[in-house]
Amino acid sequence: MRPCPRPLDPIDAEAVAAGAEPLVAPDAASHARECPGCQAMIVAARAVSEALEGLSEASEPLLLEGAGPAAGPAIGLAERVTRLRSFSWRERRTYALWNAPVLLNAGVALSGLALLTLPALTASEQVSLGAAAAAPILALARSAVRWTADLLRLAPTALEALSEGMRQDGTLGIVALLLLPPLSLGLARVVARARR
Amino acid sequence: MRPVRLLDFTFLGFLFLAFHVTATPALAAPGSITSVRRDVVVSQDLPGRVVAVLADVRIAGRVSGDVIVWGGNVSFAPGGAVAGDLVVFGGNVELPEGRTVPPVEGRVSTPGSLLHLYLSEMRRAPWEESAFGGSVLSGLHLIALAAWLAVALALLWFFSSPLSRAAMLAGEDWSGSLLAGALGVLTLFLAAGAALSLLPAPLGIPIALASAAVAVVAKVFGMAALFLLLGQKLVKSVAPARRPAALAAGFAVLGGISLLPFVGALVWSVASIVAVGVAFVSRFGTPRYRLAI
Repeated sequence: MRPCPRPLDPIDAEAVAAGAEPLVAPDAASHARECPGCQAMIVAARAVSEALEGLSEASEPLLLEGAGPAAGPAIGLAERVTRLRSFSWRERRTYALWNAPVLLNAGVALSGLALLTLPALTASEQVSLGAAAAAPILALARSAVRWTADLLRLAPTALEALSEGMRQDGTLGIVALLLLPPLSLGLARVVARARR
Repeated sequence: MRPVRLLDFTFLGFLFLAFHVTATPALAAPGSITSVRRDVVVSQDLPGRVVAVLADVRIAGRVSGDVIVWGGNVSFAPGGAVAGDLVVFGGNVELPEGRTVPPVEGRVSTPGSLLHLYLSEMRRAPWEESAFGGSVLSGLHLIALAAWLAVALALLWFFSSPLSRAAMLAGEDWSGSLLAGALGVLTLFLAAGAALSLLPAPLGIPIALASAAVAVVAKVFGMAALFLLLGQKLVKSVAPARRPAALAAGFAVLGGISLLPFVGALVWSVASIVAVGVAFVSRFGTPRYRLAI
């Protein structure tokens, strides 16, 4: 078989096999019809999906006989495996997959900076447009650094002071101590029920 | 090795009690004032420091040490001054009339608010906040939201499978996640409170910090899972290839709602509680069964 000069992305092979719209190359389905190598990738992806579905179907009689969900693979295993599978190395590096959140993130951040810049741009004492626009960004960076530095510097003293204050009033601690066991038991039960 | 279970908190409780019986009571240093749930008025010069928890402090004399307030406001009367640092968590600083700078020789810090620091960097006093209109607040809010999305994206990039598993479990049991979140937040809060109140500071502070760290990590992970779940419902697809777009869609909805006055804060708070529950219920997305191959 001749190697394909434009091999299908695995995620497109999976999409075409499942009858969904390909993500990376819109013409993946038509390309695969003409390319035996890519067609083989789609057949392989479909085979994996069918094998998983086969496992699901095999477990159904067990479930009906009351064997419980732990006796075999769950119903809809193929869907769950696909839904929960990790990204491949290639998917992590395919920008087409990530462009929506990346663009949204850039848009939100730029809107925030624009809103911070607005009062500086309209101020009467501005030197130049560039300086006025840069001032809020620099101020934000400086304030974030100061905020972190202050927090790190003051946290030990402040926590020690909080501890000193709370130890003076023992009722707070006793009430917390009495409530802690029932709450943690309740939490343990809720978590255990959800994981069953 | 047996994993640490939540039931072990019960044994921790008995440990707290044992320490409480043996620990020496906390005493304020001579010349200092420590108060819990009772307002403090410093009417004359004080050689030590002032610590107030869930109480307001009014300073009418000179305090030689620091003034540290948790959950209260600080106000200055004419003649009131602080030689050390002024630290206010979850409260405001009110100045005497005619003054533009607090009479504090050390640092003035309100770590709960980035806005005041930003305004001071912009050479604007906090009381000029209104002159800026809502644009500064909205801008900081949007930048914080952008940071949220960036962190959620990073989590999806590195932990896509655990995040998807957490989202799936949350979708299957909303009420369980909410209940687990409420119980989890309360448990961590009480554990921190009990540790700070009953244990000596060198032991209590690390436990309180650990509780806070668990809460923060759970919230961050859970919020990313919530964005993903909400987005998957909106784009009507749980396919791996659609995960980033789903995350963006879910974030756009929750982040957009958070910008609304009152309702936004309420919805975000409820989402935060659910997020902690999602993280706990899914055990940070770890698989229920592991296969040895």
